[in-house]
Amino acid sequence: MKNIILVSQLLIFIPIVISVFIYILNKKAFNYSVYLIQTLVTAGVVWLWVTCLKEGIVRFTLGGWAQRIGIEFKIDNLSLMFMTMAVIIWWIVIIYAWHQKKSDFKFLFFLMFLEGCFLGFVQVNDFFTLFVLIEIVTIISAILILYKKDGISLKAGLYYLLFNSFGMMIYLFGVALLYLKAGTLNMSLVKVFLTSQDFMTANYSIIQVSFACFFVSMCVKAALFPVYDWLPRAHTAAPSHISALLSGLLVKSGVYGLIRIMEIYQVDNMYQMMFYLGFFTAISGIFFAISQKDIKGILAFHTISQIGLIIMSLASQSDIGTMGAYMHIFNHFLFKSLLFLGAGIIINEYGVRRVSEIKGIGRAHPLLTACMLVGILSITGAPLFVGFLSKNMIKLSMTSELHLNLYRVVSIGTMISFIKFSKIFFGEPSKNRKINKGQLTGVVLMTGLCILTFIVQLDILPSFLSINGIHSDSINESIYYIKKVTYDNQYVLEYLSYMAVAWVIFKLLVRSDSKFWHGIRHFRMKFQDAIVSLLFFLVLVLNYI
Amino acid sequence: MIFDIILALAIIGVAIYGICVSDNIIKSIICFNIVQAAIILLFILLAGYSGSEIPIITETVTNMVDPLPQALMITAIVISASITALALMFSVKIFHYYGTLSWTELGEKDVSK
Repeated sequence: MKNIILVSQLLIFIPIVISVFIYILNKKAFNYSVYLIQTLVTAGVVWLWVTCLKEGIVRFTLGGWAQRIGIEFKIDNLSLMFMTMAVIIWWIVIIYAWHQKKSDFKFLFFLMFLEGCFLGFVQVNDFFTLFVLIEIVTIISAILILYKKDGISLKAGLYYLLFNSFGMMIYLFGVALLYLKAGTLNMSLVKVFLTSQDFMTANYSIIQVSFACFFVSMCVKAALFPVYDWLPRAHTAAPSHISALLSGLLVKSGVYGLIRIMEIYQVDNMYQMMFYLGFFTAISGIFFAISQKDIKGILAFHTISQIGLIIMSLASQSDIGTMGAYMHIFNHFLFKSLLFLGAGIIINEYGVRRVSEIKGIGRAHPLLTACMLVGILSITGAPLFVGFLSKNMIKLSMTSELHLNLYRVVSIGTMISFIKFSKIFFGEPSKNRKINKGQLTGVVLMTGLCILTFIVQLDILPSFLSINGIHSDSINESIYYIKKVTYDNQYVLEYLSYMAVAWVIFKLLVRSDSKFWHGIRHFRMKFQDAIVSLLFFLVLVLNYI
Repeated sequence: MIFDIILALAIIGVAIYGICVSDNIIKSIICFNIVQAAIILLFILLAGYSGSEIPIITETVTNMVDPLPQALMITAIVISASITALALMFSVKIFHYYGTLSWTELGEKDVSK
């Protein structure tokens, strides 16, 4: 047990302490210690995986305090998955950005500090410490967003910081109400309290308000339907490697919080609303993505639509749906970071971001094209690519015919937006410069991980679930089913027919830049309007529960 | 007791109204700060009714105030201060770059680019 406490705390403190030294010493040679941090953190996460596979969920309280008032840590399968994702993306970002940033001690300081805080955030089992760590993550990622210090990124950074912090203020309000009623902020104890006998007879309304506060603030972090306006601004303005980090990992911190909160409160009548929330998020993300001309804008809005898909899957309230959401969180992390990194290379080379001005990547850079095609095929859910597995799992979780059809709409919409994106590969190359080796290595490594995940993901799932002590027959059946259909011709045909429908819709409706698309493209909320829509959303949730 | 809580909630309401109507970034940040301060006030107030004495353990203390919320709120104040400092710094940079601090005008400049 002592070893586990030590390792889990070192995972947080090694990146933070060494990054402070990077900042203080300001020596070029010392900057190489980020590789040391990464090696140690990777070893620690692997050790935790091995231990947790042996012992199940691990919990401990720091400093010998009572569980009610101490800071408790809990490591279960979800936190292990997020830690793995963090380790992967930080390796890739360091490799990708090393040639530009190796002497930039400030950048490395913020980057590694963020890693420590994020690794703490996914382990903590306490409402208030969660709040503190989310706020630190928000602050540091805001600094990283405006690292270029030009006008657009400054605006995006300020908007991101203020809007997200306002969301977290609502969270703090919820914490106050919860503490008033429950007398503790420990998540496990709150869960026990909420199912206990004397709570059932007591007044329920204050707890409901605190739930609404938590739910809305996590929706802000996860960029759900009415409150996502900060995401496209931040993700398009940030440097590409930071966009990959934000879009792949940090957006999911909101989804992580949502999963935790739904797990604790178990408000049954919320799931119906969650499904439609996810659907509207997905659909609006797709509409905006189709209207965009900016290559990173398409990817950023597309992140919103995929988060919507994850929420739709979570809302099904079954084991398969939860599993599909977990798988899609991981897979979306892989291919979205891959696409953002690839887009970063292209933007670097061409100096423009408009899709129509970039041509002929296919002939100029075959390797990069192959990597990005893996990403695109994965994201559209093509058979034999990683997105196929999780999208099938999500499809299996849809309970009614209506839900299934809505899922199909989202799926076709995804394809339409990527038909537009894939235009950049065709045509005559206008320029042909050499790509930096380090950047290309990052992209190729990410592609390798995509392919590796496709091969091993279904085999890992049962042991992944066994950490939480779940042995579900329905999941085993669906794993068996997906394994069977992976190499089935029928699914290739289905994919191709969806693709044909998507292509026809694209040709008929999207190709011409009509007034409709123009209006959508230039639609931006002002900060005040965004706050009003956030409050409106809060009132909606309060009415619904 | 109920009067204090209504007062804290009223401060939150006023500040949120301020965020919703003010176009200036600095005003938004100030209102944001007031929301944070009012929520901290509310938390302290709610916890303050659990006892009546200062939470320092001596032999005579019998019903002391729950000390945990106060410890938590000190952390929240630190976070609030750092967010305010950072946001003010960003707005100074924005003013140098665009020459304005109005959300509306900044939004229009984005489109024309």
